[in-house]
Amino acid sequence: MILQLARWFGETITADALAHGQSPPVGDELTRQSTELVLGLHPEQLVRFFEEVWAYRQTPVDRPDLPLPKELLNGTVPGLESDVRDKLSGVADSIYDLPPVQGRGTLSDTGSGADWDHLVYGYLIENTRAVDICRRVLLEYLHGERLEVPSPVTRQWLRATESLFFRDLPAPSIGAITSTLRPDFAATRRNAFHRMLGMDLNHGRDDGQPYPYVHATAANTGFVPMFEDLLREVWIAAENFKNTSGTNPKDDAAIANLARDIRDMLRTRRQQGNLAREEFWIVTMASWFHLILESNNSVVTDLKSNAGSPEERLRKIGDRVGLKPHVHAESFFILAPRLSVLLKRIEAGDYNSPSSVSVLYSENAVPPPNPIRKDMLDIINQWSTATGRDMKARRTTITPRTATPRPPSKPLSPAGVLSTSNGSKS
Amino acid sequence: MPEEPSEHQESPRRKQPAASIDMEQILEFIRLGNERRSEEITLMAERLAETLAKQLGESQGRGERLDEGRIRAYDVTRRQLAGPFDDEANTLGAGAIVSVTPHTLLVGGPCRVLLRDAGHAVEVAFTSDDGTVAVRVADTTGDAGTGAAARSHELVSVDVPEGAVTGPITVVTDAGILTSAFNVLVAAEAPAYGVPAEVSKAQPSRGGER
Repeated sequence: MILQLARWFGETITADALAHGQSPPVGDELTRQSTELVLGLHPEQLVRFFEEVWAYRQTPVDRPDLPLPKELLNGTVPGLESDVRDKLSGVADSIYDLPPVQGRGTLSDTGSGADWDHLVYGYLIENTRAVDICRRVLLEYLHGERLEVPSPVTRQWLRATESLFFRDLPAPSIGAITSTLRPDFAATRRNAFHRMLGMDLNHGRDDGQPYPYVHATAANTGFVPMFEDLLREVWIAAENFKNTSGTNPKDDAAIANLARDIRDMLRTRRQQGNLAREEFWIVTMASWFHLILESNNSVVTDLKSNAGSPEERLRKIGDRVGLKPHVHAESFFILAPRLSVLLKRIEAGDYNSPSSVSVLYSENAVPPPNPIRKDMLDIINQWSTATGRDMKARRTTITPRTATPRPPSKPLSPAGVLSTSNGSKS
Repeated sequence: MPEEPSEHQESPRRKQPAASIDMEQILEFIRLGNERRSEEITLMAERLAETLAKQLGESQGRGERLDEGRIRAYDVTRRQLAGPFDDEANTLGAGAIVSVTPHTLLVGGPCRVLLRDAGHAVEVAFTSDDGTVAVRVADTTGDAGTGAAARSHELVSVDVPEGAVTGPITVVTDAGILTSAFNVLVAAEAPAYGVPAEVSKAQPSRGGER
């Protein structure tokens, strides 16, 4: 949601510039400006915004945890709204119903359609070690002055980050998923990753020991092999979908089968809203740190870590606090948004039938190009890089070595092998 | 017997010419037959090709529609979750009416509609008591700025027509039809004394909206 919020702020920046006859900022500059608008929000505004996102969520049946009652969500005028709606002037595709350009027609906000990333997004961003590195940055800033004195914007980021993700939120908050029963948010995240994706993070504690967390019995431990089979099948199909003669090894039925199995597996973990709140808060935290790394904003500049890509900025920040990011951080940053969308569409059942899987690998005959195929090829490449397992190679099946057949003690005559006996004695 | 000579007489008469005619007829028949067959084959081939093309067109049409639906669903999700830096998620962005200014429109007064990824505007239709009342667009992209954002944005200026009332507006572009998800406020008519442009274009300060 943080990335979306920044994008909406970017829309307002563009619209404001155009309305004043100015050239709007683009690219990195637009990201920087929109990031700093997000950082300009008070932590209470952010908490209220998250409540509104949950209240206006898509498919509440799948995510049945109660939102704040309307009276508490909106309060009375002047109400308890986050005020984000009024800041998103003219953004037609935000989650809010009434664009404030038309004035505040009703006393309280309404909205719909809020959605956020899949849990795999949080897993991949955390695998870059962005969370651990930012945690060390906070520790440095809060306990000493080894780093430079933070600018006002960085100070706002420090306060919001500590308030939102390194303390227990108030009980009514949708992000309050730590308690005396599960005091460690990091362990809660690992538990969710293990249950949903069958994977632990690629790093343990700072001292190199495994991170302790509760391993649930019911976990999707078959997710990775099944997902890799899907990637292999899609690659084979992408290579061969244009074949008009000879054999064509693409197998739409196999792709559909795997997509259906993955869907069933993931949705089993989500029954009756299981893991919904955890997923919401984990991906919110991941996008909070991801956003900081996507531009040379004040936080990055204060840390003297300006660079041209998120993984480079993370590496430089990591150098400042003595923690290196993962060597495949770039792959994780590329994978995160793509895999998130893919798994959401798989869970929506888009690729459940053989007739509907060609969009995963085939190319449009006329422009525009098929974005799903492009993302799938990116996923296949980056997954291969990150895991070291080549998704473009056929799966090899290892069969156990069979014992060498012992020679028969009494050689059989050819006649004895070939002839059949009817039991009669000659 | 007497008939034999006649037959015999006739026979050579018939046969001789018949032999030549037959040959010609046969050749003609073969030629015509070939032509007929050729025509028939051509006709059959044409019909077959037509049928195949029709079936192929239908099946391709179905496939394209199916694929388009899934691609659009994927793109909507991708775009919905994208951050400000995720340009690739915006390649197939759906068009949108970003904003309408001024805050309250006056009949006969100016109206500026900011569009994003919507193509070239042709017509703006306002809600009216009878349905809609449309205005042809004459002035576009006048103040859309420069740079990448300007390529994706278009600023449309029209005068609010007689009969327009509060309600959603629709913009017809060369890429499709967009309807606002919000109501556009329209006051009864412009005051007789006229409102200075800077007043009618002024936006309310956000802090004072409450």
